[in-house]
Amino acid sequence: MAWKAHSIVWALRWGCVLLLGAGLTASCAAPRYRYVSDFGDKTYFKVPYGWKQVDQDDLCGQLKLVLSMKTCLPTFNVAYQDSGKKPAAQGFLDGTLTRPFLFAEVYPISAAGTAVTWQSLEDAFLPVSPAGRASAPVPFTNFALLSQVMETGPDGFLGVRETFDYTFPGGMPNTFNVDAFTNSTASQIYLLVVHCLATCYRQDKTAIDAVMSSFTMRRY
Amino acid sequence: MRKAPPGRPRESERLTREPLPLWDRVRFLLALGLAWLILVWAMVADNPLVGAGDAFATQVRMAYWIFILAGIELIRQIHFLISEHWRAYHRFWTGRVFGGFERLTRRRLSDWTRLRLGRLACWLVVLVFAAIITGKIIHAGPLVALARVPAIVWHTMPFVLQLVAGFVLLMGQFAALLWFLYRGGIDVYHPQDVQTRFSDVWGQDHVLDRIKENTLFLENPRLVEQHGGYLPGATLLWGPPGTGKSLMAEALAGETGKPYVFVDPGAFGGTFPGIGVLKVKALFRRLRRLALRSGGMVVFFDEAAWLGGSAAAAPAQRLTPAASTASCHGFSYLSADIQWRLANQSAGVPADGEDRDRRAALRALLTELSGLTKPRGFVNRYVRRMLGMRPKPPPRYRILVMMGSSMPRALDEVLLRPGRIDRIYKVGYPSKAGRARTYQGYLAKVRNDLTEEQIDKLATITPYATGATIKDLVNDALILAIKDGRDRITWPDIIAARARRELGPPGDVGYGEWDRHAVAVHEACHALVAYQTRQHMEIDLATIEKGASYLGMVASIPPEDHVTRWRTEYETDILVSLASLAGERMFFGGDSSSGVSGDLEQATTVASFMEGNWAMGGTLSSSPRASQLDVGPARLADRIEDNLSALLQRSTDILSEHRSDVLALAHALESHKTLSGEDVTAVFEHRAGPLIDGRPYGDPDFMAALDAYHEAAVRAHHDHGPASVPLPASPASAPPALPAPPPPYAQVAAARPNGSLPGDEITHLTTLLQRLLTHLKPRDDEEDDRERS
Repeated sequence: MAWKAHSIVWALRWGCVLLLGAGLTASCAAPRYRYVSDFGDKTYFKVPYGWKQVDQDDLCGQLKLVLSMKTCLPTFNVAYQDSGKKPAAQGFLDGTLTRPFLFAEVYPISAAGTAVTWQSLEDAFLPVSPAGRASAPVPFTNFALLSQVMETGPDGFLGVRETFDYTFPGGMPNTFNVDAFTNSTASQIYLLVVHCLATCYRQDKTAIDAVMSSFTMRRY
Repeated sequence: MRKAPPGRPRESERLTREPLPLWDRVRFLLALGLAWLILVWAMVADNPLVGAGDAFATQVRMAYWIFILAGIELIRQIHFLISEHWRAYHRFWTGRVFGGFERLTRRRLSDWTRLRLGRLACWLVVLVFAAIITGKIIHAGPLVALARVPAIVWHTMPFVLQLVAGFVLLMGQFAALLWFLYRGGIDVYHPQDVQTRFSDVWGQDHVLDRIKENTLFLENPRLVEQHGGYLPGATLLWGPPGTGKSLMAEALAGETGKPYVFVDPGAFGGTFPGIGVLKVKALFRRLRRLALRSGGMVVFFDEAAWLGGSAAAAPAQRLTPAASTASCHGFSYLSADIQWRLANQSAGVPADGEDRDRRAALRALLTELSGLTKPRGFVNRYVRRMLGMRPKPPPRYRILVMMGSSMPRALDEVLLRPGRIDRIYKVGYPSKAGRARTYQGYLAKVRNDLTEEQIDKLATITPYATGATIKDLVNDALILAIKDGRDRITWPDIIAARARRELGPPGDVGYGEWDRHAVAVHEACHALVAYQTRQHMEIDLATIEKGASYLGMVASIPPEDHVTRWRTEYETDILVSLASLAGERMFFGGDSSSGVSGDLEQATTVASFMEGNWAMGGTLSSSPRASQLDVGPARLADRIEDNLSALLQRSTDILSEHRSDVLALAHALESHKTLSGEDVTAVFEHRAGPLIDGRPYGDPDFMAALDAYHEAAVRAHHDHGPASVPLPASPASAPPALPAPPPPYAQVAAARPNGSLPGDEITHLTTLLQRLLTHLKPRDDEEDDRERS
C-alpha cells in the first residue's frame, strides 16, 4: 500500500511538472492577435500581433495638426500599423500606404441635443453619403462605395460598417474600411478606420476584415 | 555506556543548512503560478475577444516579471538545496559572503547608522511595491505612476479630508486623551543636562564603588564585548528613601556622558486599563533609540516596588502607625530596624484594578527587558522568516537598567530573577563618617560658620539622616539665617532647623493644668527609665509640647553607630516603652490613660520579635517560618505576655526607687515644655545644666513642695475639680555657664532679649519663632520700601 501511495504521489508530482512545462511551451508561441481595449468605454478590438502601435505622443501631434487644435483630445484614440519598424502617425492620412493603418477613437458628441443620424454615422470619417459629399467636398476623387451595412447591435448600439475607395490627389486609389457606431443615448461615437492602398486592401483583406469584425462595444 | 543523543544543534553549529520542508520549497513558486493564472483569467474575463490560447500567450509576455521572480525563486531554492548537502558551499556563503558583509557593515557602520539604513531600505522596498501596484492600477509604468502619485493624492484629497475629519471627530478625542495619559512620568535628560557626578554622592562609598564598575560597560563597551562580556542585567538599589539611590544612577550617567532617563513610580499607572502596557512599550522604544544614538544610556525606575511588587510603596506618613490616636510619640523610642519592620507591616496593598494593571505593566516590562536581545521588527521577524531567511539579531542596545526600592521584599520574584536583576545593593543610612562627609558637602555650597567639631556633633545627633534629609536640613537652616538677616549659617540655625524638622509645628491647643501634669509625669517616666537603664542610647530631648499627632516625646540617639543589636538593648527599649504605663499606675493610684496605647504597641512588637524571631526569650523556633510550615510555636502569645509583665514590674521597681526624680523632671517639663538631653541629665543629677539648674531638685523642701503639688493634682483628677496648688516656682539660682559648643536649646534661651531663664509658659520653639518674626517684619517693610523706590 505504501508503495502504491508513493507511486501515486510521484506520478502526480511529475504529471504536474510535465503539464506546467507543456503549458509554458505552448504559451511561448507568439499570440495571433493583440487585444486592444478601452476599459472606460468598454470598447474592444483586436489587431494582428505583427501590427505595432503608433506612439501616442506622435499620434497626438498628428491629430492636433489635422484638427487644428492646441491640445490633444481627452478621449480614447489609438493607432496601429502593419509595419516592420516603428510606425509613424503621418500614415493617418497618407495616400501611399502599402500596409494597413488603423485608427480608433471614442469621443463624445460635443453639442448637446445634436441628433445622430445614419448620415452622420456614414460621414463620421470621410463624406460617404451623397449629401455629405456634396456639402463637404474633399480633395479626394473617384469615390466608390464597395460595401455598406447598417447595423443595430445589442444594448441599443447602432451604426454602419462601410468600405469605400477614394483617390488621393495625384495619387493612387485608397480603400477605407470604416466602422462608426453610437450608443443608445447617442452620447458617444465609436470609430474604427483601417485604410491603405487598394492593392494592399485586396492583398490583406482577410486580416483587415478580421480586425473590422472584432470591433465590439458593450454597455455593461 | 550508551551515549546520550545529541540535542538539536544551534544554527551556528550546523555544518549544512537545515533541510526545508517541501511546502517551504514550492510555496512561492506556487504563489507566483497562481498569480499568473489569475492574470490570464482576468484577461479572458475582461475582454470578450480574447481566447484562452491567446490569453496564455499574451500573459507570458505581459506578465514577464512573474517569470523573472519565479526564476529568482528557483535559483534561491537551488542554492538552498546545495547548501543542505554541500558543507563547503554552505560555509562559503554563510561565513564568507553573508558573514563577511555583516562583519564589514558592523565594522564600518555604527549600530545607529545600520538601523537607519535598514529603515531606509524597508521604505524603499515599500515604495517600489507601491509604485508597481499603482502603475498596474493606472495602466502606467512604475516610475510614471510614482510621479503621478502626488497628483492622484491631490485629486483624492477632498474625499480623504472628509474621511480624516470624520475620524478626527469620532476618534480624535479618545486618541488625544490616551496620548496625554500616556505621556508624563518619564523624564529624559541628555548628557549635557546631567551635571551630577560621582563626587556629588557622599556617604555611600561602598555602594558607589560597585556602581562605578558599570562605567566601563558604558564608556568602552567594545572592549568588554570583544572579550565575550556583555552589559549586565538590571541593578537594584534598595534602602530607605532619600539615601541617594537615584542620585547614584544620575551620577553614573553624568560620568559616562550618556543619556539618563528617570521613570517615576506612577509612570505606568493610568485611568484606563492598558495604558501602563502602552507606556512600557513606548518607553522601551524610546530607550532603544536613545541607546543606539548615544552608544548606551542609563534608565532608573524609581520605587520599583510599585511596578514589580505586591504592595504599594510606603509613603512617609505610614512610618508612624501609632500616631493615629493621641498618645506620646512611641515610635521615636525604637531603633531604625524596628521602625522599618513596622513600616513594612503597615504598607498598603493596591486595589484590585490597580493591581491588575500593574501586573500587566510588569509583564510588559519583563517582555521588553528580555526582548532587548531578541530579533525585532516586522520585516526582520516575519518577512525574512517568510522568505526562508534567519532574522537578523538586534543591535547591542547597551541600556543599563537601574531600579530603586525602599521595600525590596515587596518586589516580585519574577523581577528579581537573575538575568533580569543581576545585582542587588543595599543603600542604607549613611554611617557617622558618611553623614559628616555629606554635611560637609552640602555646607560647602553655602556660607557657614560651623566648625569641624560642630559638624561632627551634628553627624552624631542625626543618626538616621540621609542625603536628602541632610540637604533639606541645611536648606532649612539657610532659610532661617536669611530670615534673620544673615547670609551665613550658624550653629543655632542648624539646631533650630533640626528641631523644626523633628518636632514639626506645635499644636495650637494648650493643656489644662491637670493634663499638663499628667503628660509631664508620663514623659518623665520614659526619660527616667531611659536614663537609668539604656546605655546604648542617650536622651536627645524631652518635650511635652503637643504636636500634630502626639502629646509629648522623649527622643534618644545612639552616641555611636552599631552594627548589631543585643537582647539587653531590646529589653531596655521595652522597659522605656512600658515606663509610661508603670508610672501612670504608680503615680495616679492605679489609674492609667489611653496615652499608653502607642507605647504598648511598640513594646509588644519588640517583645514579639524577641520571642518569635530572635530567640531572645524562651522560644528557639522562628515564628514566621513555623507559621508558614503550620507548626506555629505553642503559647507564643503567653510567653510574650509573660515577658512584658516581667519587664513592666522591673520598670515599676525602677520608678519606685526614683520617684522624686520623676516628679523633678515632670516639674522641669511643666516649667519649660522642652528640655535638651543634657538638661534632663542635670535634673536627675541635681546639677546645673545648659538651660536648667538642677540643683534645686536636690533640696528636700522643694521636693516636698513638688510632692504636695502632685498630690493636689491627683486629688483634682479624682474629684474632677480645679487644682488647688499652683505649680511651684524654681528657687532662684545663678545662671550656669554655657558649655561650648552650646547645645541647641541653651542657644535659643541665650538669644532671648533679657537673657533670663524661661520660667513662664513661653517655650523655646515659640520663643525662636517670635524672635524670627520680630526680625522678619521690619525687613519685609524695608524691602517693600526699597522695591517701591
